Amino acid sequence: MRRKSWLLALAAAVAAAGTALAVKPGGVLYIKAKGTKLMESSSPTAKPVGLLQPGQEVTWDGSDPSNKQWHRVKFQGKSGVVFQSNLSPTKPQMELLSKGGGAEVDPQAFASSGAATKALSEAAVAYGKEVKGEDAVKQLLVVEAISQQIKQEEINDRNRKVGLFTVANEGGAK
Amino acid sequence: MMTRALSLVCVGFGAGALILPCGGKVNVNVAPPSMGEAQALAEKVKELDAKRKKCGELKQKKVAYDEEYAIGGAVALAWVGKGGGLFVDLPKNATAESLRDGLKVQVPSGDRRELHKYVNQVGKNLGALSSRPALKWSFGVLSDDRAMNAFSAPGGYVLVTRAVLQNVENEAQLAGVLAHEIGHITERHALKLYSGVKANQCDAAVLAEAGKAVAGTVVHIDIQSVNSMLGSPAGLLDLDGLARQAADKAGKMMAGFTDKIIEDITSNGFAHDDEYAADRVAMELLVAAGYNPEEYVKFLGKLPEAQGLWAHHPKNADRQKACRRWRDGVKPSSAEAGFSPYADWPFEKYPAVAFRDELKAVRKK
Repeated sequence: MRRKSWLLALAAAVAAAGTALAVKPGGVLYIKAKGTKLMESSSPTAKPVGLLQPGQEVTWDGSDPSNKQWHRVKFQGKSGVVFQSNLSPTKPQMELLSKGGGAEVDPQAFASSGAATKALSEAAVAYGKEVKGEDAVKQLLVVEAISQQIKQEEINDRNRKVGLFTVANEGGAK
Repeated sequence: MMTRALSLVCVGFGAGALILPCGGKVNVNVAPPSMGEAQALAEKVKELDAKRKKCGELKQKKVAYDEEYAIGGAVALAWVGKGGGLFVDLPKNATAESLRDGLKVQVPSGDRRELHKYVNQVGKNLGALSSRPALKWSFGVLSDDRAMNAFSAPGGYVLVTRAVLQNVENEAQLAGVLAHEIGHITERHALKLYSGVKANQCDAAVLAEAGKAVAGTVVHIDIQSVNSMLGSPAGLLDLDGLARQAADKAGKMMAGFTDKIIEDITSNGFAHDDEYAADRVAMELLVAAGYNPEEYVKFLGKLPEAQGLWAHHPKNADRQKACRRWRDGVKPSSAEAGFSPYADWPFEKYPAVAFRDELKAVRKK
C-alpha cells in the first residue's frame, strides 16, 4: 500500500514536470548548448545571424509554422530561429568556483574560467598514490586526453552521418 | 544541546563523590571552579556547539567545482580499481606527470584508442546537451567483461564495463546508459554523499579537538583544514591545496572520504528517487540528441536484477514504466500552445543507430 502511494506520488511529480514549466509566447527560454546558432530561418540553406551560449536568455515567439522543430526567438534585438534541443525552459546550472570565495557563475563564464580544462586533480593523484593505484591514475589521464583531443566538429560530422542532431556549435538539423 | 553542555560541565565540577546530572558517577578531587573558569567553560561549550552547527550546515552547501573535480577523480580511480582497470593502452614510459597535458599526449593507436574515442564522442555529445554543458566530460571503458556495470563520479567521469558494451544492441542503448550516468552527475547524487561525509568528518574532528572523540569514529581531516573550511562562507575544502602542501596527508584524507562514498554506494546504492531522476535525464538527453528513447527503455529490461549494484536499483519494470510515463507526459499540447522541445513526439522515427565496427575491441573473440 505504501509502495503504491509512493508510485502515485512519483507519477504526479513526473506529470507535473511536463506541465509546470510551460512557457507562453513572449516568455523566456534559455540556451542549452555552447555555440548555438541563431539562424535566419529553418531552411537548410539559411545563414546564421548570431551565436548564442549556454545560459543566455532569449524571448520565445512560438514554433516555426513551417518546421516545428525550430523556434522563433529574439536575442538582443535580433530575430531568428533556434533548434528545439538547444532551448530549455529552465536555466542551465550555475557552477560554483572556489576562486573569489565561491562565486556562482553561468556555464559560459565557467567555461571561460578554464576550471574544467585541468587534468586529473592533484588531490586525486595523491589518493591514487595512497591506494597504490598509480596505473589507474595513468589510465584515467589517458582517457581524459582522448576525450580532450576530440573536436566538436568531429562529433557533429559523425552525428550527421548517423542521422542524429548536430546541436553544439551547429544549427541542429539532421 | 543541554545534555551535551552538562556533560562537559560535569567533568569540571565537584569534590569527592558526585552524582552528575549527565548520569555519570565519578570521584574527583578538584576544587569547584571559580566564576571566571565556569564562564570560560561555558564559552567553550558555546563555541563547540556553534562549530558543530556549522559542520552540519555543510550538508546543504553546494560543493565548488574544484572540490567536486578532486573528489570525483578519486571516486573515479576507486571505480577503475574495482573494474579491473581501464581498457586503454598507455604510451611507453608514460609517467603521470607526462600525461597531464591532455592535448599533447600521444595515445597509442589501435582498437582500444578507437573504442575510447567512439565512447567519448557519444558521451560528450550528450554532456553538451545536459544542464552542466561546460563540465570536462570523460568516458572510460573498464576491463571487466563479466559484470554489466556503469559508474559515475562527480566532476564529469563516466565509466562502463566491457560487459555493458557486449550487451548493448545499438548506439541508442549505449547512449542511454551514458546519459543515465550523466544524470547522476548533473543531479549531484554522489556529491550529496560527499557533503554528508564532509559534514560528519568535520563534526568528528571538532569533537576530537575538544577531547570528546566518539569511539569508533576515525577522523580523516585535520582541525586546520576544518577551521579553514568553516571560515569560508561557502564551506570550501581546498583538497588540491592540501595535496600541494602535504601529498601523503592529503592522500590519506582522500582515501578516508572516498572509501566512505564508495561503501555507501556499493552497500546502499543511490536513493530510488535518484535513480528515477537519472532515468528522466537519460530520456531527455536521448531525445535532445535525436536517439530513439525506447531503445533505452528496452535495455533497462535486460539489466541483471538483484545482482551487485543493481540490487539497490528500483525494479527494471518500474523503471521502464516511469520512462514511458515521462514520454507520455511530454506530448506537446496544442491547447496550451506553450513551448515544447518535443515536436517529434513520440520519437518513433528517431534512429537507434546500428553499430558498425566501433565496438570491435570488446567484441572480437
